Amino acid sequence: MKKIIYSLIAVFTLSVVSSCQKFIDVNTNPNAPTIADASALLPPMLSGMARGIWYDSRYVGQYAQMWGSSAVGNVWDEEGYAYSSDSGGEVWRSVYFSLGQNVGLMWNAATPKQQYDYIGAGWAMRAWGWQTGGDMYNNMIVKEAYDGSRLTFDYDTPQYTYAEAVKDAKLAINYFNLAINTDHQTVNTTFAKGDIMYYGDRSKWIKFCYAILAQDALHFSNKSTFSPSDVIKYSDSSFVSNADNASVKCNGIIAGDSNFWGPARQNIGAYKQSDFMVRLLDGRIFTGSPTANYTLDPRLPQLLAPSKDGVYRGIVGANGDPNPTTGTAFIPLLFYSTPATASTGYPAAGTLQKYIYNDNSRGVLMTYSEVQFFKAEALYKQGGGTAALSTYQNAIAASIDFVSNPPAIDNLTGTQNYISAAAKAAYLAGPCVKQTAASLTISDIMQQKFISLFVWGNIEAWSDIRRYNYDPSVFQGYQTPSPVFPDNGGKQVYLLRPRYNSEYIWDIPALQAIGALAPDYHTVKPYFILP
Amino acid sequence: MKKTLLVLFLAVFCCAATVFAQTVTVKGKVIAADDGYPLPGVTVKVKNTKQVTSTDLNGTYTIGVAVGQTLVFSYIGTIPQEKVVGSSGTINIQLAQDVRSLKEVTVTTGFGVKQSSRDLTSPVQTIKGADIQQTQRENFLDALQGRLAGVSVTSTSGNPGASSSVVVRGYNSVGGGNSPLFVIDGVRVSNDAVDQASLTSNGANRSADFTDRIADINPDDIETLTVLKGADAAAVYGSSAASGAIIITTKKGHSGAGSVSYDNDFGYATTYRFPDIQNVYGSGTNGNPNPVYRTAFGPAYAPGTVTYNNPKNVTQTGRTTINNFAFEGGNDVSTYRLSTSIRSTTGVLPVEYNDKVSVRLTGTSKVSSTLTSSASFNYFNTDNRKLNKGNTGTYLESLIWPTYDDVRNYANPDGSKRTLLPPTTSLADGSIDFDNPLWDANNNISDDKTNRIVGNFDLSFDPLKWLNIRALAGVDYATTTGNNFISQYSSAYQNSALNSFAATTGISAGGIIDNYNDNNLQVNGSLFATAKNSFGDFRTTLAVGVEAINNSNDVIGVYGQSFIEPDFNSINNTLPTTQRSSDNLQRSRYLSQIARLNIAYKDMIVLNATGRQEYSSKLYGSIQDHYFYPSVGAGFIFTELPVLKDNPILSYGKLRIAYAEVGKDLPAPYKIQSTLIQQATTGGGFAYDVTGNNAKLTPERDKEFDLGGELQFLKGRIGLDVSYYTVKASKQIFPTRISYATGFVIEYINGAETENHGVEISLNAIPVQTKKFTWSTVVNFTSAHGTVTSLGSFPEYYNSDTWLYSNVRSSVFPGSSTGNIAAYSYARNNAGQILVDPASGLPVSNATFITVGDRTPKFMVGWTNNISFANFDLSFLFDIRKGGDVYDGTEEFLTRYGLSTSTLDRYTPRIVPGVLNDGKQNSANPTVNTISIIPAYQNTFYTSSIDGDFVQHDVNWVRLKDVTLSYKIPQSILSRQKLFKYASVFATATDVFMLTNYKGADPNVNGTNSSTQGIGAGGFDFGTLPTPRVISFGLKVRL
Repeated sequence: MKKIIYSLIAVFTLSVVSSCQKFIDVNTNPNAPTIADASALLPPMLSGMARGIWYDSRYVGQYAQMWGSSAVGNVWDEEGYAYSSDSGGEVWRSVYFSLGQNVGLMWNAATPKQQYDYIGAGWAMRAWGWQTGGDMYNNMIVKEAYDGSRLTFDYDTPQYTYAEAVKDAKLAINYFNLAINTDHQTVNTTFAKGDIMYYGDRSKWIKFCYAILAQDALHFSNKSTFSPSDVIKYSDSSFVSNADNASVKCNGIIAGDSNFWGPARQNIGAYKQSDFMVRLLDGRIFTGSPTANYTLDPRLPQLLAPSKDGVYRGIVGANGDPNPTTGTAFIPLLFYSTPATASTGYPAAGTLQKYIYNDNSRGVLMTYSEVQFFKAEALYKQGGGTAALSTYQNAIAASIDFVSNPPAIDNLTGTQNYISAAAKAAYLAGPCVKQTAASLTISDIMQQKFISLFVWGNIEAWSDIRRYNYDPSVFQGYQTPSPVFPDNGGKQVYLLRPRYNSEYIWDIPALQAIGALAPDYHTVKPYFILP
Repeated sequence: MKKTLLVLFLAVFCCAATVFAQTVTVKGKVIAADDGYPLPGVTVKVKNTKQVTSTDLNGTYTIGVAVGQTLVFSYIGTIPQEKVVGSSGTINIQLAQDVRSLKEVTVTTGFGVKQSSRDLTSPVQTIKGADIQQTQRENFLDALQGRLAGVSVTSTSGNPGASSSVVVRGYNSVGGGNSPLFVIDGVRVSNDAVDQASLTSNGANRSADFTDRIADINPDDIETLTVLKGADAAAVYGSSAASGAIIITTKKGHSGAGSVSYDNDFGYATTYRFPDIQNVYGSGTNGNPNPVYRTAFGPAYAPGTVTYNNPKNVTQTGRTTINNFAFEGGNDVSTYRLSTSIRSTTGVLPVEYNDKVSVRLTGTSKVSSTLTSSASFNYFNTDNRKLNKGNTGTYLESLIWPTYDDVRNYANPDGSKRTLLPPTTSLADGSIDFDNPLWDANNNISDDKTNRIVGNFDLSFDPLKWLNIRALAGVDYATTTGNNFISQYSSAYQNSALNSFAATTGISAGGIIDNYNDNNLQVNGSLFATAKNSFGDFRTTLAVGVEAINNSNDVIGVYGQSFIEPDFNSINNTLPTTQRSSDNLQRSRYLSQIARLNIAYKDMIVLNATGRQEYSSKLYGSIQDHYFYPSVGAGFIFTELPVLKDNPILSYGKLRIAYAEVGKDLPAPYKIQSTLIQQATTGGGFAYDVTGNNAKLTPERDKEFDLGGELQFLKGRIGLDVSYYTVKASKQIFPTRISYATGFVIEYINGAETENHGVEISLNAIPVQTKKFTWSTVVNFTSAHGTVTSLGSFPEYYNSDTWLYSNVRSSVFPGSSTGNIAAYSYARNNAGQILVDPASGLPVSNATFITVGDRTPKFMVGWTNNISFANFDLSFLFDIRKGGDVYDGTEEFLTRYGLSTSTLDRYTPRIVPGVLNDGKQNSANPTVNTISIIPAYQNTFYTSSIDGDFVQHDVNWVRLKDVTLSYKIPQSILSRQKLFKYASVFATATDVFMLTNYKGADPNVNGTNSSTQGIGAGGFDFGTLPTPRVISFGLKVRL
C-alpha cells in the first residue's frame, strides 16, 4: 500500500513538474533560428573571410609599403600599432567569430544530408584561417577554440597552428573528393546555392586547398626542413588559370555587400599608393633608370593614380603626402586614372571604376599568379634554371591578365581587356622581365610577386618581406621609416597583436604566457620565418 | 478572551438598556476631515456611560443623550473628538486622521492580502496616494524620491514624458534588472520602457527616451503605495520582485450617497539651471578665426559684438493642465468609482508635449455572504512628442549654437533651414554641423502614442469560517505606435539599418523614418487558499497557492531613408531599396507554487515562513529551469511583555529579523540556445549573433539578511523604524565581453557577485499637535553601499549604452563599488607622476578605463513636513544627498568645444605638472616638464583633455523637492450652499530650488532610460535637460 501511495505521489509530482515545464516551454526564439541550412551559413562565412583581409590589409599594406597614410607620422607607417584598438585584429575576428562556431553549425547541418562539399568547405575555410592567422599573429588559440565550457583560452604554438592548417586543408580535399565520388559531379547545384566563391565547383575548392598547402610549405623557406618540391607539388595541383582564383562575390548594392575598396564604402581615402609601388611600375627599380617611364608596365594606369600634373607619386615611409591638397602634386585617390579628374572626392557609389575599385569587385583571397610565384620561388631555391624562369614569366603574365580582367560580381575573371595583348607581350619581352634563367634573381621574383598582390594580397606580401627580413637587396624599393614607432626600440615590425577587445581585456593571462603584453611584442619575429 | 468580550458586551448592552429618561435625540453626520467623505462605522459613545451607537453608511447617527453630557466620536486611525451636547439637536463632526496611529496600520502585501504591520517581519513603508498626487508630478515616481527610505528615483531628464528609474536598496545586479516589481490591486502591471535597441535602427539606448509605463497611472487613483524592500518581497512575488516591489492599492468607491469630485491644476514649468557658457571667444581653432568650425577657439569678439544667451532663448515656459473627475457611490452590497484624468503638458523646450488620459472604473460587490468580488478597468491614452537627447540632441544643440548668432532666427524667409556652416556629413568633432535646436525641434519628429488597457478582477470566497479561497487575475495590454522622423535637411544623426547600424545624418541618409509598434501584453493570475486558526495562544495562518504569469512584448519596426517627397512623414515616402523591417518578440512565462505560514504567539512573537518554487521560461532548456527559495522571519513585540506593557513612554517596540533567498533567472528570454542573425553581406544567409548564449546557465541566488526594529513613543507621537540589511547576490547572469575564441563577442555567463549593505531609518514625529495646529514630520535616511566582489574571471563589465561621450562609462571591476565610473585618465610613471608628451607639453592619456569615481552617495535624507493650521495645510519635502560622484559630460563637451567658461583663461600660459614621457620617465631622474603652453594657441589642451577630470567628486545637494499649500473652505461656509460638500484650493511647487556644490546643471539625471539593464547611467550628465521648476495651482471640489 505504502508503495502504491509513494508511486502515486511520485507520478503526481512528475506530472505536475512536466505540466509546469510544458507551460514554460516558450524559450525558443521566434525572431531568429538556431539552426540553418548549410547553404544559408556558407555565404556569410565567405564574406567574413574577405572582410578580415580587407580590414587588416589597410594596416598590413602600410607595413608592406604597398601604400601609406597621407598623414605624416601615422603609427602604422612607423611600423607601430594603435593602442587599445581592434585595428589589425580583423582576421582574428574572421577566424573566431565569422567562421568560428558557424563552421560547426554548418557541419551539423550538412552531415546528416551527406553534403560532403559543404563539410569540405568548412575544413578549407578553417585551413585558410589557421594559415592566414598564423602568419599574422604567430600564436593562435587552436585546441581550446570554441570550447563552450571555457572563458579564457591558452595559446598554442605556431607549429601546432600550422599543422592544423595542413591537416584541415587535407581533410577538405578528402571531403571534396568524396563529394565528387559520391554523385560524380564536379559542379553541384546544391553546393552552388551557398557557394559565392566557386558556384559549386568542387574541383576549384580542391585547387584552393592546394594553394593553401603550397603557401604553408613555402612560408617555411628559411627552415632547414624547407621542401621546395612540396611547394611545387602543391602548386601544380592548385590553380591552373585566373578562372580558378579564390574570390568572394560582392553585390555592390548596399554598404554591407559591397567591395571594401569600392566608392560606396569610401574606405580608401587615407591610403595612398606607396613610392615603392610607383617605382616598381614605372620601371625605375627593374631597369635602374632614374627616370620614370609610365608606358613600360601596362598595369600602371590600372593600379595607380596620377596627380593632377600627370606625375605618379607615392608615399615614402611615414612621411605622408607632403603636397598641399590645393596643388597639382597631391596624391589622389586610387580610383582616378587620368590627371584631369584627379581630386580628393569620391566618385558616386556604383559608378564604374578601374581594377578592383568597383563596389561589385570580388573580394580576392588567392590568385593563380600568386601560386605561380610560390612555385617560381621554390624552383629558384631548388636551383633555378629555365623552369624557374618560365614559371616566373607565367606568373607575371597571369598578373597582367588579372589586372586586365579584374573579377566582379559572378565573374571569376572579367572580360574588360583593359590591357591589350600587344601591351602584355611588350611588357613580358621588355626590360622589367628577366629573359634568361641566369639573370633571374630572387628579387625579380619577389618584387614582381609584390606587384601581383597589389592591394588585395598585402598580407602575403608582408609575409614575403618578413621572410627576407626586410632585405633591401630583395625588396629594393622598401624604405625603413625614420624614426620607427617609439615602442619598437628601433626594431622593425614582424607581428600583429591578437584582437584587442577579444584578448587584451578578456584573455590577459594567456597573453602574458606568450609575452604579448610587452610593448615591443609586435617586433618579435614569428615562428614561420625563423631558421 | 472570547469570554471576556462576551461578558463586556453583555454588560454594555444591559447597562444601555437601563439608562433612564430625560434624553434628547441628537442626529448628525461624521465625515473625514481630509476629504470630506462620510465615515461609516464611527463609534459614538456617551462619555462615562455605556451608551453607544455607530454611524451608518452615510456617516449619520442618531443617539439619545442628556443635555450636558459629552459625546465621544472615535474611529480607527483618527483622532477621537468630544462634543458636549447642547440645545441643538444636530452635531456634525469631522474626524481628522491620526498620524500617530501607526500601531494599527494594515499593509497590503502579497496578492492584495491585508496584513497588520504587527505581523510583518520584514520592512515595508507606506505612503498615501494623496501625498503623491498633491505634487502634481507628471511621472508620479518622481514624487517618491525622499518619501520612502531605501528608495531612490532618478529621472532621465526634465522633458515631458521622461522615464524615471526606481531602485530599492541599491544595485544588486551588474548586468540584469534592478527595478522593483509594480503591483496594482494584487496583479502585476508593466513598467517597461522601450529599449532603443529593439527598433529596426538598433541604436544604443541613449539618444531617445521612452516613458516607463507605470507613469501612465493616474496618481489620483492611488489610495496607498507600499514598498516591500527586502528579498522577502520576492518570496511573495517571485524573482521579478528580487529588487523589491511597489504595491499600489487603488481607491474604491465609498458606500453611501453618491458623489462627484473634480479637481484641476495649472502648472508652469521653467528651467533655472544652465551650464555656464563663455561668450568672449568666437569660432575657430588655435586662436584663429574659422567660420566653418563649431569650436569656439577663435579670437575674442570685437568690442561691441552682440552676443546671445541661446540656451535661455531656446527654453520657454512649459504648461501643464490637469482635469480630474471622479464619480462614486454604492451601498452595503456594492460600490463603484469612475475616475477620469486628462492631463496635458508642454515642455520647457519647444514643441515637445505629453498628453495623457486615464479612465478607470472600479467596482466591488458582496455577491453573497461568502463571496465578494471586485474588478477594475483602466484605459490609458498618451501622446508624447519628444526631442532627441544626448549627442546632437536639442538641448546640446542649444548649448553649442554660436554665441554671435541669435538661435531664434532658424529659418530663411522662404521657410527653409537657415544654416551657419555648410552641411557636413562628417561626424568629426570639430566641424560637425549641429542643427539649430529650434529648427530641430520643429522639423525632426519623435512621437509615441500609446493605448493601454489594464483590467483585473478579485474573487474572494469563504466556504468555511476558517478558510478563504481567493482568485486574482489581471491583464495589461499596451500598444505604442512610435514615429521617428529625421528630416533630410538635418545634421542630427542616428543609427542606420543600412549601414551596419553605424550612425548617419539626416542629410547623408536623405531623411530617415524609423517607426515601431510595440505590443506589450502581461497576463497574470493567482489562486490562493488561506486557512486561519487559533490554538490557545497561537494564531496561525497558512496560505498555499499558485501563480501563473505570461508576458509578451513585441516590437515591430520599419525603417527607410532617402525621402522621395521632402519632409513627408511616412514610410511610404522612403526609397524602397532602403526599407528594412524587424520583429522583436520577447515572450516569458512563470509558474509558481507558493506556501506561506504565519504564526503569532500572544500577539508578541510572530514567525513567518515562505517557500516558493518558480518555473521560469527564460531558463527553459538550460540545466535548471526552476528554483526553490525560502524566507523566514521573526518578530518580537517586546512591549507586550508584562513589564513593558502600557508603558507611558514606550508605546510599541518590535524587533524583527528576516532571512530570505531568491532565485533569479535572466534579464531576457532566448539566452539559452545561441541564435542566428540575418546577414546583409552578399548571398544573405545566417550567422551567429555577436552574443553567444549558454545552455549551462543556472539561476542566480540572492541571499538577504535583514535586521530591524520599530519603536513608538508617546502613543505613536514619535515613531522610529530602523533596518540594517546585507544582500549577497551570487552566480549572477550577465552578458560579458569575452575572448572571441568562444566563437562569440559577448556571452551570457554565471559568475558576477555583489555584496550590498545598507541602513534605512524612518523617523516620524508630531512635534506639535493642538486642536488647530499640527506639525508632523518624517525623516527618511538611506545609506546603501554595494561592492562587486567578483565578475567570474573577468576584469571588467560595462554597459555600452552608458558610453555616452568620449571615454567615460559605467563599468565595474572586481572590488569596485557597484556605482563605479570608469574613464580614461592620466598616464603616469611608476612613481605616479603625470606623464607629459615632450612634443606637445600636454598630459598623456592612459587610454585605459580605470576607476575615476563612485556614484554611490554616502547617504540620502528625505525630510517631509506637514503643517496644518485651521483650514490651511502646508507640506514640503526636502531631498538631501551627501556624497556620490557625477560625470559632467556636458562640461567635457563644452570644454572640448571651447564654450565652457573654464576655457576663458586660455591666454594664461601654464605648465602641466608632471614629467616628460621621454624614455626617462621611469628612471631615477625623470625630466620634469617645463614646457609652457598657451591653450589659446594650442587648443588640443582642451580638445584632448583627460576624461577623468570631468567627474565631479562628492556632490551634495539640498533640494526642495516639493511644497504644497492648500486651503480647505470651512464647512461653515460650505454649509451655506447645497452644491459643494467639499472644496479646497492649493498651490504646489516642485523642484523649487537646489543648493549644491555641483558645477553643472542638474546632478540627479540619467544618461539612459530605465530600460537599461544593470547599473545604468544614473549620475551621467550629458546633454540632459535639467529638471525644471514647476509652480502650479488648482482647486478641488466635491458635489
